[in-house]
Amino acid sequence: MTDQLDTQQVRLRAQALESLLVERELLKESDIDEVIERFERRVGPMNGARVVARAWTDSEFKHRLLEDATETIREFDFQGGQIEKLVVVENTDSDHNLVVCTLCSCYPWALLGLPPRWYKDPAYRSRAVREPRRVLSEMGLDLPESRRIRVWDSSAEIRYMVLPRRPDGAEEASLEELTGLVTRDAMIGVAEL
Amino acid sequence: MDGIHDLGGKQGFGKIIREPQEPAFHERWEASVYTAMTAIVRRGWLGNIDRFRHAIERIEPSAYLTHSYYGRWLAGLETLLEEGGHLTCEDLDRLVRQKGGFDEDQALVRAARPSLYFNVSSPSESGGLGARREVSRTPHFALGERVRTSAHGHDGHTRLPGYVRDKIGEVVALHGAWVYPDSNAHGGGEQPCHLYTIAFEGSELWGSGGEPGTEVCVDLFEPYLESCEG
Amino acid sequence: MADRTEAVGAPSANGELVFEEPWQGRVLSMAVCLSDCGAFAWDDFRARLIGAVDARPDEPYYVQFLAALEETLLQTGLIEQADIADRVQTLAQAPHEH
Repeated sequence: MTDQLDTQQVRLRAQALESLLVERELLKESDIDEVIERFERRVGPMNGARVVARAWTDSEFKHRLLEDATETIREFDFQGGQIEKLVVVENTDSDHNLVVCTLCSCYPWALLGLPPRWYKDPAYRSRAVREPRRVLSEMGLDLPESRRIRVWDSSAEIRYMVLPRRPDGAEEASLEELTGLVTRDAMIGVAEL
Repeated sequence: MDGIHDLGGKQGFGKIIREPQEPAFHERWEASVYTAMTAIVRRGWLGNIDRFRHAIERIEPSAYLTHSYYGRWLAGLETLLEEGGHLTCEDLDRLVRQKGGFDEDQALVRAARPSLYFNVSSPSESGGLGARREVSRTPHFALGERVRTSAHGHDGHTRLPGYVRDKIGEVVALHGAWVYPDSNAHGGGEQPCHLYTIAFEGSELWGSGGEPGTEVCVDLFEPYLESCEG
Repeated sequence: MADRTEAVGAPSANGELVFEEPWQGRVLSMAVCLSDCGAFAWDDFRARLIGAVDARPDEPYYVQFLAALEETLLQTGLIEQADIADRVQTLAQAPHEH
């Protein structure tokens, strides 16, 4: 390779190499696609979303998840951002859960990826424990007065994730479609679906 | 330590600002700090996570609030590298001056990819030892028991937030024994102790100003707690 | 797979690999697949990557990576330098789909 290639040249060169290798049957295009797929789905909110969708559709799994989330998520083989102990807390018609870390910015990385900036900023960290109802309302989630709010301050090495309520009207949805409905904010507890 | 980092319940920070389509890193230097951090952890220069958290807590208060998250990481890393004798702040300043930025420096390219340059076997997938420990001591408190939290903090690192001091709550979960950060951050050894989730009513924490129908659950170590019963 | 990408210092954030453009992901995947099928040993490739990073310190990571991959394949004799050059030219002249 000559020095200082521009991006277009490099892209071309990568394509050329791939097409040669495929042509000579050293590689199959589908192999490469599969590896990319694995890379792209390794970490991030999609991991948490898969856990949530599974819990919505499999009551035995959900039961185990709420009893012992650490052990239950092992079957997903998530990599990166290890969680020593995970606790999943369930939102219901009577209870709403919200996760914060007032002392630093502890967050279930392996399931939700990197935390958003607001989660690490002083405004959320200071207010979530003192006026959670107002904070949620400001963030667009108005809960009925009757709904009890439980805030989880991650002050040790235990990490928390919210199991949101399953949205109405998604009874026919497939596991894949359900996974696509779950948002990061719902798994922190600042949104509903 | 009663530092600015202990933000729970503090007032005056205004609205929560959300950023649509937020990228993983806002600027390249943030990713540099992230990778440098990973490298430093692998080299074992960090000591332990409690030490690192305490280094961040010691950032000058106004800087703590104005630095972004990765800015706080960088300041914490510099403190630990200097205290560990690995690098002086003058060295860092010189590097930054020479290169007009720290991610362009070849030394840091190496630091960011240590496994490429040094044939270190990376820690096992389980992430090493972790903080959970087995102890023969049985937990002092039981599920459902009412406990009062310690009224005072101390000068060092602690995971007892200010807003739950001298408050009464209920044990809602037992988690076994874990490394005690208050000791581990200061070279006092792991001193594992039992960890509990304690639930506090909003009104207990904030008086009549508390929102009705709210509670806060906090993970607290046994030395922070005393029984309210008997 | 994670231990291999880790061992060659592929840029990642929070355990997630970071690709600025799709071709970068394909290049990394090619290398992984080729070592899986025994075209070369991962450690040989890693050694060449170290050389490529040192030889072109100012280039982006995946340019170094691609150079190392080419070099490794040339060394195994599976591909000739001229093949790559020809293919680049063919592709450059081909009408683009987009």
